[in-house]
Amino acid sequence: MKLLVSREWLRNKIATDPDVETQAGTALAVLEGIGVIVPPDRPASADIGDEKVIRLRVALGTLLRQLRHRDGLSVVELAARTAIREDEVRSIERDPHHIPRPRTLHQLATHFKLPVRYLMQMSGATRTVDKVLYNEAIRFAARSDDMSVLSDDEERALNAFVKLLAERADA
Amino acid sequence: MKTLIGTVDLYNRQTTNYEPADLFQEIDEKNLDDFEEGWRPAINQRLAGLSSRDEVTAASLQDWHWDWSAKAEKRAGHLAYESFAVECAGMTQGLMFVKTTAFARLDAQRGLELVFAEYLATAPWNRHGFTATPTYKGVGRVLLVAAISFSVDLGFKGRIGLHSLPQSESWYATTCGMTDLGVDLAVPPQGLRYFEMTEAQAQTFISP
Repeated sequence: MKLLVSREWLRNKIATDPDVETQAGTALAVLEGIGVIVPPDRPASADIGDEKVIRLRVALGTLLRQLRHRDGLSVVELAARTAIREDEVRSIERDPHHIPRPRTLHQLATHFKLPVRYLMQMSGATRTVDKVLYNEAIRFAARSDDMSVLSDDEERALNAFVKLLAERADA
Repeated sequence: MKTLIGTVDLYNRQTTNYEPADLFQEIDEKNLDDFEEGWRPAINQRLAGLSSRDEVTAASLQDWHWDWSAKAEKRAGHLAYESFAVECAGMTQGLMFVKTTAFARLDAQRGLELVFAEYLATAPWNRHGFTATPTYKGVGRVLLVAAISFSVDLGFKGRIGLHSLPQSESWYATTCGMTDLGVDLAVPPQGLRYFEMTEAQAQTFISP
Protein backbone atom coordinates (compact mmCIF):
# COMPACT_ATOMS: atom_id res chain seq x y z
CA MET A 1 0.00 0.00 0.00
CA LYS A 2 1.23 3.48 -0.81
CA LEU A 3 0.53 6.60 1.22
CA LEU A 4 -1.32 9.12 -0.95
CA VAL A 5 0.44 12.12 0.60
CA SER A 6 4.03 13.15 1.00
CA ARG A 7 5.97 13.42 4.20
CA GLU A 8 6.13 17.16 3.73
CA TRP A 9 2.37 17.42 3.25
CA LEU A 10 1.78 15.58 6.51
CA ARG A 11 4.27 17.71 8.37
CA ASN A 12 2.68 20.95 7.13
CA LYS A 13 -0.82 19.77 7.98
CA ILE A 14 0.17 18.58 11.46
CA ALA A 15 1.70 21.98 12.10
CA THR A 16 -1.59 23.76 11.43
CA ASP A 17 -4.04 21.14 12.70
CA PRO A 18 -6.02 22.03 15.80
CA ASP A 19 -4.59 20.29 18.81
CA VAL A 20 -7.58 18.09 19.63
CA GLU A 21 -8.31 14.43 20.33
CA THR A 22 -8.76 12.01 17.43
CA GLN A 23 -9.89 8.71 18.93
CA ALA A 24 -12.52 6.65 17.09
CA GLY A 25 -14.13 3.35 18.08
CA THR A 26 -16.82 1.36 19.81
CA ALA A 27 -19.00 2.58 22.65
CA LEU A 28 -18.26 1.31 26.14
CA ALA A 29 -21.80 -0.02 26.56
CA VAL A 30 -21.46 -2.43 23.65
CA LEU A 31 -18.37 -4.02 25.12
CA GLU A 32 -19.89 -4.16 28.59
CA GLY A 33 -22.84 -6.01 27.11
CA ILE A 34 -20.69 -8.82 25.81
CA GLY A 35 -18.49 -9.09 28.87
CA VAL A 36 -15.19 -7.97 27.39
CA ILE A 37 -14.45 -5.08 29.69
CA VAL A 38 -11.00 -5.18 31.14
CA PRO A 39 -11.08 -3.20 34.36
CA PRO A 40 -7.98 -1.50 35.65
CA ASP A 41 -5.49 -3.77 37.35
CA ARG A 42 -6.26 -3.82 41.01
CA PRO A 43 -3.48 -3.92 43.56
CA ALA A 44 -2.98 -7.34 45.19
CA SER A 45 -4.32 -6.08 48.51
CA ALA A 46 -7.71 -5.38 46.94
CA ASP A 47 -7.91 -8.92 45.60
CA ILE A 48 -7.21 -10.61 48.93
CA GLY A 49 -10.63 -9.60 50.21
CA ASP A 50 -12.40 -10.56 46.97
CA GLU A 51 -13.10 -14.20 47.68
CA LYS A 52 -15.15 -14.90 44.61
CA VAL A 53 -12.39 -13.74 42.28
CA ILE A 54 -9.79 -15.75 44.18
CA ARG A 55 -11.91 -18.90 43.96
CA LEU A 56 -12.43 -18.42 40.25
CA ARG A 57 -8.71 -17.93 39.68
CA VAL A 58 -8.00 -21.11 41.64
CA ALA A 59 -10.41 -22.88 39.31
CA LEU A 60 -8.75 -21.27 36.30
CA GLY A 61 -5.33 -22.41 37.47
CA THR A 62 -6.61 -25.91 38.10
CA LEU A 63 -8.25 -26.03 34.68
CA LEU A 64 -5.12 -24.98 32.85
CA ARG A 65 -2.85 -27.22 34.87
CA GLN A 66 -5.05 -30.21 34.21
CA LEU A 67 -5.36 -29.47 30.53
CA ARG A 68 -1.60 -29.21 30.33
CA HIS A 69 -1.20 -32.55 32.12
CA ARG A 70 -3.86 -34.13 29.96
CA ASP A 71 -1.90 -33.15 26.88
CA GLY A 72 1.41 -34.29 28.40
CA LEU A 73 2.98 -30.84 28.27
CA SER A 74 5.50 -29.30 30.61
CA VAL A 75 5.22 -25.63 31.54
CA VAL A 76 8.12 -24.91 29.19
CA GLU A 77 6.42 -26.72 26.32
CA LEU A 78 3.07 -25.00 26.86
CA ALA A 79 4.76 -21.62 27.10
CA ALA A 80 6.60 -22.25 23.83
CA ARG A 81 3.50 -23.43 22.00
CA THR A 82 1.39 -20.47 23.11
CA ALA A 83 4.11 -17.77 23.02
CA ILE A 84 3.48 -16.99 26.69
CA ARG A 85 6.19 -16.44 29.31
CA GLU A 86 6.89 -19.50 31.45
CA ASP A 87 6.61 -17.51 34.67
CA GLU A 88 3.15 -16.37 33.66
CA VAL A 89 1.99 -19.94 33.01
CA ARG A 90 3.24 -20.90 36.48
CA SER A 91 1.61 -17.85 38.06
CA ILE A 92 -1.76 -18.58 36.48
CA GLU A 93 -1.61 -22.19 37.59
CA ARG A 94 -0.47 -21.48 41.15
CA ASP A 95 -1.06 -17.91 42.24
CA PRO A 96 -4.70 -16.82 42.62
CA HIS A 97 -3.52 -13.25 43.22
CA HIS A 98 -1.90 -13.10 39.81
CA ILE A 99 -3.95 -11.15 37.25
CA PRO A 100 -3.46 -12.78 33.84
CA ARG A 101 -3.01 -10.54 30.86
CA PRO A 102 -5.88 -10.65 28.37
CA ARG A 103 -3.51 -11.58 25.57
CA THR A 104 -2.30 -14.55 27.61
CA LEU A 105 -5.87 -15.72 28.14
CA HIS A 106 -6.54 -15.44 24.44
CA GLN A 107 -3.45 -17.47 23.64
CA LEU A 108 -4.46 -20.19 26.09
CA ALA A 109 -8.07 -20.19 24.89
CA THR A 110 -6.93 -20.64 21.32
CA HIS A 111 -4.49 -23.42 22.19
CA PHE A 112 -6.91 -25.40 24.32
CA LYS A 113 -9.94 -24.48 22.20
CA LEU A 114 -11.83 -22.89 25.07
CA PRO A 115 -14.20 -19.92 24.94
CA VAL A 116 -12.06 -16.93 25.82
CA ARG A 117 -15.04 -15.16 27.36
CA TYR A 118 -15.16 -17.69 30.18
CA LEU A 119 -11.45 -17.65 30.79
CA MET A 120 -11.75 -13.87 31.14
CA GLN A 121 -14.53 -14.33 33.69
CA MET A 122 -12.51 -16.91 35.61
CA SER A 123 -9.53 -14.55 35.70
CA GLY A 124 -11.61 -11.84 37.34
CA ALA A 125 -11.28 -9.54 34.33
CA THR A 126 -14.97 -8.94 33.74
CA ARG A 127 -17.58 -7.11 35.78
CA THR A 128 -20.13 -9.90 35.45
CA VAL A 129 -19.70 -13.62 36.00
CA ASP A 130 -22.03 -16.30 34.70
CA LYS A 131 -23.59 -17.86 37.83
CA VAL A 132 -23.61 -21.38 36.42
CA LEU A 133 -19.98 -20.98 35.38
CA TYR A 134 -19.04 -19.80 38.87
CA ASN A 135 -20.72 -22.73 40.60
CA GLU A 136 -19.41 -25.33 38.16
CA ALA A 137 -15.90 -23.86 38.24
CA ILE A 138 -15.76 -24.01 42.03
CA ARG A 139 -17.14 -27.55 42.03
CA PHE A 140 -14.59 -28.60 39.39
CA ALA A 141 -11.65 -27.16 41.30
CA ALA A 142 -12.78 -28.77 44.54
CA ARG A 143 -12.64 -32.22 42.92
CA SER A 144 -9.03 -31.84 41.81
CA ASP A 145 -5.94 -33.15 43.51
CA ASP A 146 -2.58 -31.64 42.79
CA MET A 147 -1.07 -34.61 40.95
CA SER A 148 0.97 -34.50 37.80
CA VAL A 149 -1.08 -37.34 36.32
CA LEU A 150 -4.84 -37.09 36.17
CA SER A 151 -6.85 -39.85 37.77
CA ASP A 152 -9.77 -41.26 35.79
CA ASP A 153 -12.19 -39.29 37.96
CA GLU A 154 -10.26 -36.09 37.44
CA GLU A 155 -10.15 -36.66 33.70
CA ARG A 156 -13.89 -37.21 33.61
CA ALA A 157 -14.48 -34.06 35.68
CA LEU A 158 -12.12 -32.08 33.44
CA ASN A 159 -13.84 -33.24 30.27
CA ALA A 160 -17.25 -32.46 31.74
CA PHE A 161 -16.20 -28.94 32.70
CA VAL A 162 -14.63 -28.25 29.30
CA LYS A 163 -17.81 -29.53 27.64
CA LEU A 164 -19.89 -27.23 29.84
CA LEU A 165 -17.81 -24.22 28.80
CA ALA A 166 -18.25 -25.09 25.12
CA GLU A 167 -21.99 -25.66 25.44
CA ARG A 168 -22.57 -22.38 27.24
CA ALA A 169 -20.50 -20.51 24.67
CA ASP A 170 -22.63 -21.96 21.88
CA ALA A 171 -25.92 -21.26 23.68
CA MET B 1 3.41 -9.62 7.87
CA LYS B 2 4.25 -6.20 9.30
CA THR B 3 5.20 -3.86 6.47
CA LEU B 4 6.69 -0.38 6.60
CA ILE B 5 4.46 1.95 4.61
CA GLY B 6 6.56 5.05 5.09
CA THR B 7 8.31 7.45 7.40
CA VAL B 8 6.41 10.49 8.61
CA ASP B 9 7.04 13.22 11.16
CA LEU B 10 5.27 13.73 14.46
CA TYR B 11 5.46 17.01 16.34
CA ASN B 12 6.87 16.73 19.85
CA ARG B 13 5.01 19.37 21.80
CA GLN B 14 7.53 19.35 24.63
CA THR B 15 10.68 19.83 22.58
CA THR B 16 8.87 21.70 19.75
CA ASN B 17 10.75 19.56 17.28
CA TYR B 18 9.56 17.15 14.62
CA GLU B 19 10.66 13.57 15.05
CA PRO B 20 10.65 10.78 12.49
CA ALA B 21 8.00 8.11 12.93
CA ASP B 22 7.29 4.93 11.02
CA LEU B 23 3.86 3.94 9.79
CA PHE B 24 3.35 0.19 9.55
CA GLN B 25 0.64 -1.97 8.08
CA GLU B 26 -0.16 -4.90 10.37
CA ILE B 27 0.38 -4.71 14.11
CA ASP B 28 2.89 -7.17 15.54
CA GLU B 29 4.12 -8.44 18.91
CA LYS B 30 6.19 -5.32 19.52
CA ASN B 31 3.10 -3.13 19.21
CA LEU B 32 1.09 -5.38 21.52
CA ASP B 33 3.92 -5.45 24.03
CA ASP B 34 4.06 -1.64 23.88
CA PHE B 35 0.35 -1.57 24.57
CA GLU B 36 0.60 -4.02 27.49
CA GLU B 37 3.73 -2.57 29.03
CA GLY B 38 3.39 1.09 28.06
CA TRP B 39 -0.17 2.17 27.30
CA ARG B 40 -2.02 -0.05 29.77
CA PRO B 41 -0.01 0.76 32.91
CA ALA B 42 -0.24 4.47 32.11
CA ILE B 43 -3.99 4.22 31.57
CA ASN B 44 -4.53 2.16 34.72
CA GLN B 45 -2.50 4.52 36.84
CA ARG B 46 -4.47 7.49 35.58
CA LEU B 47 -7.78 5.65 35.97
CA ALA B 48 -7.04 4.87 39.59
CA GLY B 49 -7.57 8.52 40.41
CA LEU B 50 -10.90 8.84 38.59
CA SER B 51 -14.30 8.09 40.00
CA SER B 52 -16.92 9.10 37.44
CA ARG B 53 -17.63 8.80 33.73
CA ASP B 54 -17.28 12.58 33.40
CA GLU B 55 -13.80 12.41 34.85
CA VAL B 56 -12.93 9.56 32.48
CA THR B 57 -14.09 11.68 29.54
CA ALA B 58 -12.16 14.70 30.77
CA ALA B 59 -9.04 12.53 31.03
CA SER B 60 -9.46 11.45 27.39
CA LEU B 61 -9.82 7.86 28.51
CA GLN B 62 -13.14 6.82 27.02
CA ASP B 63 -11.22 4.06 25.30
CA TRP B 64 -9.57 2.80 28.49
CA HIS B 65 -11.32 -0.55 28.08
CA TRP B 66 -10.00 -1.23 24.57
CA ASP B 67 -7.89 -4.34 24.73
CA TRP B 68 -5.69 -4.11 21.64
CA SER B 69 -4.11 -7.50 22.39
CA ALA B 70 -7.48 -9.20 22.38
CA LYS B 71 -8.53 -7.35 19.26
CA ALA B 72 -5.37 -8.43 17.48
CA GLU B 73 -5.88 -12.05 18.46
CA LYS B 74 -9.50 -12.06 17.36
CA ARG B 75 -8.71 -10.54 13.99
CA ALA B 76 -5.52 -12.41 13.19
CA GLY B 77 -5.74 -14.16 9.84
CA HIS B 78 -9.09 -12.61 8.94
CA LEU B 79 -8.95 -11.06 5.51
CA ALA B 80 -11.69 -8.58 6.42
CA TYR B 81 -9.45 -6.80 8.91
CA GLU B 82 -6.26 -4.83 8.71
CA SER B 83 -4.25 -3.00 11.32
CA PHE B 84 -1.83 -0.10 11.38
CA ALA B 85 0.69 1.21 13.87
CA VAL B 86 2.70 4.40 14.24
CA GLU B 87 6.03 4.07 16.03
CA CYS B 88 8.21 6.90 17.21
CA ALA B 89 11.13 7.00 19.65
CA GLY B 90 11.01 3.23 19.90
CA MET B 91 7.42 3.16 21.18
CA THR B 92 4.03 2.57 19.58
CA GLN B 93 2.35 5.97 19.47
CA GLY B 94 -0.80 5.06 17.56
CA LEU B 95 -2.88 2.01 16.66
CA MET B 96 -5.76 1.42 14.27
CA PHE B 97 -7.91 -1.52 13.26
CA VAL B 98 -10.00 -1.28 10.10
CA LYS B 99 -12.62 -3.52 8.60
CA THR B 100 -12.89 -3.86 4.84
CA THR B 101 -16.29 -5.53 4.64
CA ALA B 102 -18.39 -2.53 5.50
CA PHE B 103 -20.81 -0.50 3.44
CA ALA B 104 -21.64 3.18 3.33
CA ARG B 105 -24.84 4.49 4.91
CA LEU B 106 -24.65 8.07 3.69
CA ASP B 107 -27.30 8.53 1.00
CA ALA B 108 -24.78 9.83 -1.54
CA GLN B 109 -22.85 6.57 -1.36
CA ARG B 110 -25.25 4.14 0.23
CA GLY B 111 -24.28 0.52 -0.24
CA LEU B 112 -20.82 1.24 -1.58
CA GLU B 113 -17.87 -0.42 0.08
CA LEU B 114 -15.73 1.60 2.45
CA VAL B 115 -12.94 1.10 4.94
CA PHE B 116 -14.43 1.22 8.42
CA ALA B 117 -12.01 2.38 11.13
CA GLU B 118 -13.13 0.18 14.02
CA TYR B 119 -10.60 1.52 16.50
CA LEU B 120 -8.20 4.43 16.19
CA ALA B 121 -6.18 5.76 19.10
CA THR B 122 -3.08 7.66 19.99
CA ALA B 123 -1.04 6.60 23.01
CA PRO B 124 -2.41 8.02 26.26
CA TRP B 125 0.60 10.27 26.92
CA ASN B 126 -0.17 12.10 23.66
CA ARG B 127 -3.61 13.24 24.83
CA HIS B 128 -4.41 16.63 26.39
CA GLY B 129 -6.97 15.42 28.90
CA PHE B 130 -4.67 12.63 30.03
CA THR B 131 -1.71 14.80 30.88
CA ALA B 132 -0.91 18.49 31.14
CA THR B 133 2.15 17.83 28.97
CA PRO B 134 1.08 15.62 26.06
CA THR B 135 3.91 14.49 23.83
CA TYR B 136 3.26 13.84 20.14
CA LYS B 137 0.83 15.63 17.85
CA GLY B 138 -0.15 14.23 14.48
CA VAL B 139 -0.82 10.55 15.13
CA GLY B 140 -4.53 10.87 14.33
CA ARG B 141 -3.90 12.56 10.97
CA VAL B 142 -1.30 9.95 10.03
CA LEU B 143 -3.70 7.09 10.80
CA LEU B 144 -6.58 8.76 8.97
CA VAL B 145 -4.39 9.20 5.90
CA ALA B 146 -3.49 5.53 6.21
CA ALA B 147 -7.18 4.59 6.24
CA ILE B 148 -7.92 6.73 3.18
CA SER B 149 -4.87 5.42 1.32
CA PHE B 150 -5.92 1.86 2.15
CA SER B 151 -9.42 2.59 0.90
CA VAL B 152 -8.03 3.79 -2.42
CA ASP B 153 -5.71 0.80 -2.57
CA LEU B 154 -8.71 -1.51 -2.22
CA GLY B 155 -10.62 0.31 -4.93
CA PHE B 156 -13.00 2.04 -2.50
CA LYS B 157 -11.87 5.47 -3.75
CA GLY B 158 -11.05 6.89 -0.33
CA ARG B 159 -14.41 6.17 1.30
CA ILE B 160 -14.09 5.61 5.03
CA GLY B 161 -16.39 5.44 8.04
CA LEU B 162 -15.95 5.55 11.80
CA HIS B 163 -17.60 6.24 15.14
CA SER B 164 -16.02 9.24 16.76
CA LEU B 165 -15.45 9.34 20.50
CA PRO B 166 -17.12 12.51 21.82
CA GLN B 167 -13.92 14.45 22.39
CA SER B 168 -12.93 13.89 18.73
CA GLU B 169 -16.14 14.95 16.98
CA SER B 170 -14.91 18.41 16.04
CA TRP B 171 -11.79 16.87 14.49
CA TYR B 172 -13.73 14.59 12.17
CA ALA B 173 -16.50 17.06 11.38
CA THR B 174 -14.53 20.25 10.90
CA THR B 175 -10.87 19.48 10.26
CA CYS B 176 -11.37 16.27 8.31
CA GLY B 177 -14.53 17.46 6.58
CA MET B 178 -16.41 14.22 7.11
CA THR B 179 -20.19 13.96 7.07
CA ASP B 180 -21.84 13.52 10.44
CA LEU B 181 -24.67 10.99 10.18
CA GLY B 182 -25.65 11.56 13.78
CA VAL B 183 -25.77 9.32 16.80
CA ASP B 184 -25.67 5.71 15.76
CA LEU B 185 -28.87 4.27 17.21
CA ALA B 186 -27.58 0.74 16.71
CA VAL B 187 -25.15 1.33 19.55
CA PRO B 188 -27.24 1.93 22.69
CA PRO B 189 -27.38 3.65 25.03
CA GLN B 190 -24.20 5.75 24.86
CA GLY B 191 -24.29 5.81 21.06
CA LEU B 192 -21.45 7.48 19.28
CA ARG B 193 -21.76 9.79 16.31
CA TYR B 194 -21.06 8.04 13.02
CA PHE B 195 -19.03 9.82 10.34
CA GLU B 196 -18.34 8.99 6.71
CA MET B 197 -15.96 10.42 4.16
CA THR B 198 -16.99 10.37 0.52
CA GLU B 199 -14.65 10.05 -2.44
CA ALA B 200 -14.87 13.81 -3.01
CA GLN B 201 -14.22 14.56 0.66
CA ALA B 202 -11.22 12.25 0.60
CA GLN B 203 -9.82 14.07 -2.41
CA THR B 204 -10.27 17.38 -0.63
CA PHE B 205 -8.68 16.06 2.54
CA ILE B 206 -5.52 14.89 0.83
CA SER B 207 -5.23 17.85 -1.53
CA PRO B 208 -2.29 20.26 -1.06
